[in-house]
Amino acid sequence: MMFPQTFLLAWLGIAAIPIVIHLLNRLRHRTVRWGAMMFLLKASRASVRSARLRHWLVLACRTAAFLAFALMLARPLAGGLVGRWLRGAPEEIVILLDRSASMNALDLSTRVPLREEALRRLAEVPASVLRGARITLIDSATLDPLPLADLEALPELAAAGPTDTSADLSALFAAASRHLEATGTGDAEVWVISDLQTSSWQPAQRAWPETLARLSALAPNLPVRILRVGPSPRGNVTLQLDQARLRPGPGEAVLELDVIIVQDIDEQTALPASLTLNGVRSPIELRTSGYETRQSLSLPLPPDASERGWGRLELPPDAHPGDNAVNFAWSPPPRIEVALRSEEPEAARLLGLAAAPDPRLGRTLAPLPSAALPPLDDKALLVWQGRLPPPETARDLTTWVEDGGVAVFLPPVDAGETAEVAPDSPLGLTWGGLVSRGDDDPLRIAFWEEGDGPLARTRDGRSLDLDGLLLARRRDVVLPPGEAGEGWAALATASDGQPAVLRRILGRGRMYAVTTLPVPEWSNLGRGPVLVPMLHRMADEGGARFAEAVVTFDGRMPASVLAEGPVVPVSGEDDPPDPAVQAGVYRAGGRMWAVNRPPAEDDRTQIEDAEALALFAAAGLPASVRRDLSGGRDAGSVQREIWRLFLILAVLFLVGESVLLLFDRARRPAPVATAQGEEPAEAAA
Amino acid sequence: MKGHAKRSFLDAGLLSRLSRLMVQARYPMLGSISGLHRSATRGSSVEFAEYRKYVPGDDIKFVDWRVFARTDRFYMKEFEADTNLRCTLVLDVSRSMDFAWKHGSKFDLARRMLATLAYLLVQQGDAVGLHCFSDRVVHDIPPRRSPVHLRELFDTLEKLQPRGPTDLVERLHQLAERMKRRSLVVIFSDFFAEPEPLLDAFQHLRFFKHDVALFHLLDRQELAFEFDRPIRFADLESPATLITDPAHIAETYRRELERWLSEFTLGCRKFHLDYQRVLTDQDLEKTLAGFMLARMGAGSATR
Repeated sequence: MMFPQTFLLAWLGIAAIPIVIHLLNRLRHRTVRWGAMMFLLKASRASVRSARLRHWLVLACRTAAFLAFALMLARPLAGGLVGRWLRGAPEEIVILLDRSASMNALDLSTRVPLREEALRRLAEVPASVLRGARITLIDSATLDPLPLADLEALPELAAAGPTDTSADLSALFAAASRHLEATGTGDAEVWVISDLQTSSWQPAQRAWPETLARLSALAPNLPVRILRVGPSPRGNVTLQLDQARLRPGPGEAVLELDVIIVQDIDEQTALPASLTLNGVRSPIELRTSGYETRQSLSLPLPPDASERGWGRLELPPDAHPGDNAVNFAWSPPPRIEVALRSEEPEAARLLGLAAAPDPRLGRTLAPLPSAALPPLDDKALLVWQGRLPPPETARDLTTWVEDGGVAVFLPPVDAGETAEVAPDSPLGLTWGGLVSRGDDDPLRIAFWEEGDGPLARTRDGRSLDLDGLLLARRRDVVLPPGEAGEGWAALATASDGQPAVLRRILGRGRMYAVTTLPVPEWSNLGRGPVLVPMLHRMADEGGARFAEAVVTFDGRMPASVLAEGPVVPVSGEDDPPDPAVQAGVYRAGGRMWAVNRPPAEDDRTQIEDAEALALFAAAGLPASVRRDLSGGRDAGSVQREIWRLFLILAVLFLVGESVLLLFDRARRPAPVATAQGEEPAEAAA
Repeated sequence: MKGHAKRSFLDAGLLSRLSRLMVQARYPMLGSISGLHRSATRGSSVEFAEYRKYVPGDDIKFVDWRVFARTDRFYMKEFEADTNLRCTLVLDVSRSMDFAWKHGSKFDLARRMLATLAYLLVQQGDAVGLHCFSDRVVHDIPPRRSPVHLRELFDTLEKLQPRGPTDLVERLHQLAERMKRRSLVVIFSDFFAEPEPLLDAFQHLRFFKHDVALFHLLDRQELAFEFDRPIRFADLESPATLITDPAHIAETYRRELERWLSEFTLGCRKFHLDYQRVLTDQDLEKTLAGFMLARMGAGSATR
């Protein structure tokens, strides 16, 4: 039994009331001078045990009744059959299904994918558990609520099918919260089907507390029941794509394919793989040298595929069939041209070096004049340091971003201590006052988004060195109220809680704002470990629209591309993948898209049950982790409100007390006859 | 009543109403003068008692000459004698008699009853004495029938205060040994003692042919024992105290009291004691009238 809000246990104090009254009565005795002492002493000596026992029983009943009443007020929760029996059926059961790529791993015992195994177990949940509750499915790939008539059809449902996407459990709970808010359901349960993969749950994610608090406010003491699936058998080999580069040569073109092979055994093995290039399949052997092996393959390209094409490298099926293949596409590298405009010469030098260090790397720098903004149609990235552009220029800039361009804004140096005035800027952003901390007490980066964006981990899973970033000066960002300021989200937050890097997704492009400068007086951003990859990634985002072949790691086609026109699968003719949720090679808008599962999905690290439960406990939501919904071993138990039990107990104790008192009164002899022939006073009355 | 009007324990109206009744002995008495009560000896009243043979020395005026004429034998005619009564009023003045709840103390009630009876007895020509005791004899006024004596008795009553423990059994035995001449003994007490020795003491009194009447004085609270919270009971006759929750012992207390009362009343009936249980809230006139009427009925039945 647990209590969602322990302060309510203070009510237990009222259980002491009968005892306190009893003791006070004992202390507050009055003195009576008594004549018939001989009978009193006899009675005291002969005071039968039953009378004392009855008295203590009455006191115990009163105390227990108060105790039960106090426990009822504390709204206790209990798991198992007791909790289920006492609470009754909820009005709605919301099933949150983790459809991430990791859920395609095989179950150790049944050898079917974890997702399928979970759906099978769900389908076997007896009707007595559901008891007529409304069922709604929300999956991690679409986040759309889908009402279900019953659970039996769940395994066949497309909305519960396999995906190569990642999952964000906090977003899944946010979707559940929105759904419950929309339906106005207060009496609900949330069932979560997941393998508790760390990258999907991210317990440290800042969105969790707010999401769960909102959910708790909507449905206090909402029971959360987590069905944990797994584990998977050992012996899995994961194939990851590092990069695919086309190296045109004087003779035949060569595709340099860098792959990473990860296995859970430390041994050298030869893996028979299958390589498909432009639809032609051929065997190939990959070799492993330990847990992780990086292998570079130089693949001569046939003449007809020397400039552009697609391919797929695939390992034989194993414990996780979903991580055995990588998709790639190639085309001549796009031209990355970075436009730079900076008011501060040192900042301009460092930004230019970071964004386009060498033209031989395919990145060129185009300094912009301080006058009117020239056309940016061929630019991948615009770096703007200084005062924000005037409204007309900002409007043109916004249109350019919506078409796929990427702009990053850095603050002005000489704008003074106060905020820059541009409240109606189309950019939805103005620079605020200057914050100086000095060199001895610089700000640090407390949190940054590592899963996505220019500050994400590297492909081999290493974090950017934002921990080493020191901010001596920063200029606050002021977002105008209302719609104008919407869309900006912090990607990195300084230790004082203010954003250090912000992003706004606008159409197909992005806007970024960095609140410090890469000059020594402001920060050590100019050192490069953060600035260089950040600007390169921003430039790659902006240049992606120029490339004919695109390799992505989102596990699905971007929603904007799906919305623009038809997306045709190129690979897997027998069983064409679904571009909305599955990896593969697709052709869309004259470009080739090689979609791979998110690298984070290959990290099979899972959070502990306690860690998951702690998330919900912090929000006051009763949660349990189970391995089986129709019996079996529980890691926790279903926690349900059982205040009814204590209400019943309180009533029973009070009835018991009444019975004891009535029994006592019935046994009490009638008052002794008074005088001869005279009726007792009570009888006469 | 003249001269006694200032006594707080006397009610002139009550005395006036009760004066139409008589306090009669249930058994023959041995008085010194002629009175209202049947004598244990033959006397000169008009009421024939029996014949007996002539014994030399008998007064020949009581020879029944008609019987002599028929039988040629001398028979003496004997008549009932009426004599006066010696009444000893015994009052328990131990502290337990001082218990009072809502309707005054048992002692006050006993004093009023005793004074009323004393007045009525003297008025009807009987001798009245007073014997007060606790664990010792406090006052012992021998029976006399003069109004002066009555005043002395009232003065003594006036000054009486309950005090000390009681030694009821011993004092009654002592009293029985001292009173060899048959008389009416009226005892006012709560009789809180073990029934067996107490009844032995009454039997001792009865052995000397005393007409023993008991006024058992109790308070209704002593019978009901109704308390609603823990009480520290302090014994009126000793330093003993008892802190207890009456709810625990009420049932046992009432059972013990009931057992004691039934044993006591049964013994009283066995030894032909005139037992009256009187509660402090009872009507005094009704109680005394009942007592006197019952005796008048019993007296005429045995005559």
